[in-house]
Amino acid sequence: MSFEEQFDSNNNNTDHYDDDNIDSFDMLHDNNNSNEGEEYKINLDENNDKKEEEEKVVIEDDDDEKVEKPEEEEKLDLQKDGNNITFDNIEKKDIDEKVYEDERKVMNDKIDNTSQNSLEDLVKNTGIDAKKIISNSETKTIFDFKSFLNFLRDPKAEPILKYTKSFINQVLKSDRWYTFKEQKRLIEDFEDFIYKKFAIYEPFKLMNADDLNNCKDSMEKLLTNKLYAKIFSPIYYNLSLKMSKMNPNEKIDFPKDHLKLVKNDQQLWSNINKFGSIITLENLEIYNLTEVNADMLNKFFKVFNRELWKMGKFRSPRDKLVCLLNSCKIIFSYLKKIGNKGLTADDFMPLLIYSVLKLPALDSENYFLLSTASYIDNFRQANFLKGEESYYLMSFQGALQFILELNEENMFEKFKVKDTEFFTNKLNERKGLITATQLEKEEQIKQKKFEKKLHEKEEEELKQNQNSAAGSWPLSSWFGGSSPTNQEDSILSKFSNLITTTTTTTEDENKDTNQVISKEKNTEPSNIEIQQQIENQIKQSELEDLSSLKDMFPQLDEAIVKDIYILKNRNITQTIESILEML
Amino acid sequence: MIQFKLVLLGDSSVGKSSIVTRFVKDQFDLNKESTIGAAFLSQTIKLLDGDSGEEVAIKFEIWDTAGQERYKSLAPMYYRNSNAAIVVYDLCDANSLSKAVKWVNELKEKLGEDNDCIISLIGNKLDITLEDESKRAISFKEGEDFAIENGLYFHEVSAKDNIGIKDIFQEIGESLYKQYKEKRVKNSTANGPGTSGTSNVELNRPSTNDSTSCCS
Repeated sequence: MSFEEQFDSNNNNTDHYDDDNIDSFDMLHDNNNSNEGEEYKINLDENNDKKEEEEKVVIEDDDDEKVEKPEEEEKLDLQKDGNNITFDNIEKKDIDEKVYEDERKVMNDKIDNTSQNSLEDLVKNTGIDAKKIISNSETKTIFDFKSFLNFLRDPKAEPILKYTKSFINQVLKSDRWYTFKEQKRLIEDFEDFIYKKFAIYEPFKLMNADDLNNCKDSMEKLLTNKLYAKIFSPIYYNLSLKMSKMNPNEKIDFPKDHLKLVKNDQQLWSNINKFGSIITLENLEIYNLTEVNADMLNKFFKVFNRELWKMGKFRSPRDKLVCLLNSCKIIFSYLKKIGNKGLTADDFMPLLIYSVLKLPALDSENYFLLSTASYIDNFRQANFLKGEESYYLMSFQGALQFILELNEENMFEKFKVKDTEFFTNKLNERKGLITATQLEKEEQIKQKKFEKKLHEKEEEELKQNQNSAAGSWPLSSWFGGSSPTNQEDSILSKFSNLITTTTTTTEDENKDTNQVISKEKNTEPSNIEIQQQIENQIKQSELEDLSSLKDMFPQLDEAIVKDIYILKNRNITQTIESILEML
Repeated sequence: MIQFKLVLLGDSSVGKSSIVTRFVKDQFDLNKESTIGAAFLSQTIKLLDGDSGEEVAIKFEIWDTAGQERYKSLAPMYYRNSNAAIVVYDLCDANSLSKAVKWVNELKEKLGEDNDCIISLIGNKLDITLEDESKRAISFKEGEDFAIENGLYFHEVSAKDNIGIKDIFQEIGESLYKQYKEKRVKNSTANGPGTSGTSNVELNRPSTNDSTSCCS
């Protein structure tokens, strides 16, 4: 993955980082209603002879729809399938994609003939995805998820689409609690399987190696996005908590490897909370820093934090990894800035650890660092995770491991402390403060719980009314075309009900909830409004970036900083780098 | 292209990173793949295949580790799956050889008996001793004896004056290539013809993929 590409994920400023494109997958409809030979059967047994019956659940997608229907009705059928998407929405999306394609062509033509300076105007005039297009046009290997979805739309690729949907549905529907290892194997097996199928069906069959790689990369993104709630440990864990609340009699044996990640993340944050505020640069033997530098360091932290925060928002391992690499790159930019010549692991590692320790502890639920690192490590396909990517992922894991293992017995081995008594006093002070805040928090939680219950009740009533009126099935887009009765039994319908009715703990899930609710209410804004929104978001992020840059380089003229920023296609990391080179 | 993972070990003051920087910078084909920072570098070198007489290119992926004592516990994450290790000490620092010896012993212990990781012991800062022999704290023989005893490659070099740097990597590269070819022959006789390419995959995958990695 090249760094020019980071743009693509860096500048996705919508609230749902991945959802925009993923949604259009749900709208891909298999035209051929016969399913024969195109289910994928998940199987975890080493020995194929010993397949257990329960694991061979075959999803019969379109059972109710064996009758051929005229084409005009196709789109409407989606609604009956349980896809909670209205006709209007589909059409709008289709139009959006056409607009996108056209813009893309226009943009690419224009870019060849225009100077960098006028790129700004192009961005202003086009809005949707314009930034992405500009940045992509500079790179040779482009990660292009949309074109992958377009390939899937090809009638000849229908078997691929069916296998994929079948796989996703089976994993989502299965009420088994998979271990991390099992999930890794399920997905890898499916990837192996589907890549073999790529060689059989057009358009994949005829692709060159680059395009095929893009499709493999995109397939990973698609699968991990769809299965996110089941494979990302913290969300999976929350799901198990909710399930056991709903059915107190049912014992859930939550997989130990997932649980370990969740618990370790909690421990990590407890350590960051405890040690983060009292650790100084000297404790990690980071020298070369005058006070001016330390001040600048704080400003770099902002950018570093933001990348890691983004890492929590994206769903696919690929996108998360881009954010992680960006954050590492920021550390090197800083080292370069303070005149460190070597820029080696001896310099990098301490500053990485220091930076993670300085993450805002109050915001811990936005960063599931250990879970995320392990998620990337396991679900990023091996041939995409090598060399540099692999090295920095490992260094990040190393830094987290270092912090995770911190305790009061080993702290003087791990940190260089001259005045141990002073350090211990400070630590005790900090611990006292944490306990006090915790008590206060617990009180607040009690209060909130009460309010939540009231709120839930209202929502439940509202939802029931809606359901009986419209007969709609939230989140059933997961299921392609399964019938509502099947869904009732499935774990996922329970899940979807859950997230439509409860206010969830993570922001991510909240967004899912909002999304579902907004779909139910059918209050999607018009095409123009969406475009405006996106433009606003782009402007908003631009303002944020510029203000960080201004903080970071107060000595520079704002106009100059802005010019460089625009010249670097609004990529903040690249901007910082080129300013540093100038200084 | 055949790729090998090479890990750098040694105390923080011995100049292990400068050996790599020197190696990477001096090469004609400066590799642009390191986009993030110099802790990870890659470099391609050319070898002559003794059997076919053809020139082959192999690529080193060089993993730097933090040399400070406090990060020692993280080292296994780095050297796991490496094809080669360079352990560096400072010729002018009396303590540094014993630290290097510790690294070598740890490597051997953790990687197990039947690993084929190639280890090279390197005494750096030869330039200082050439200028003033009295500054030398560790004799050539001391280093060499330990290396022979443990089956290691051994060189005294100067990263600063670029003495012997290229040879370290050339030697490791040739040795790794030989190993690679032997493995390939073994695999193809075991699996029949046509499968010889598969050994490549293994070598190309130095990254960790199991969920039992240190952080999970």
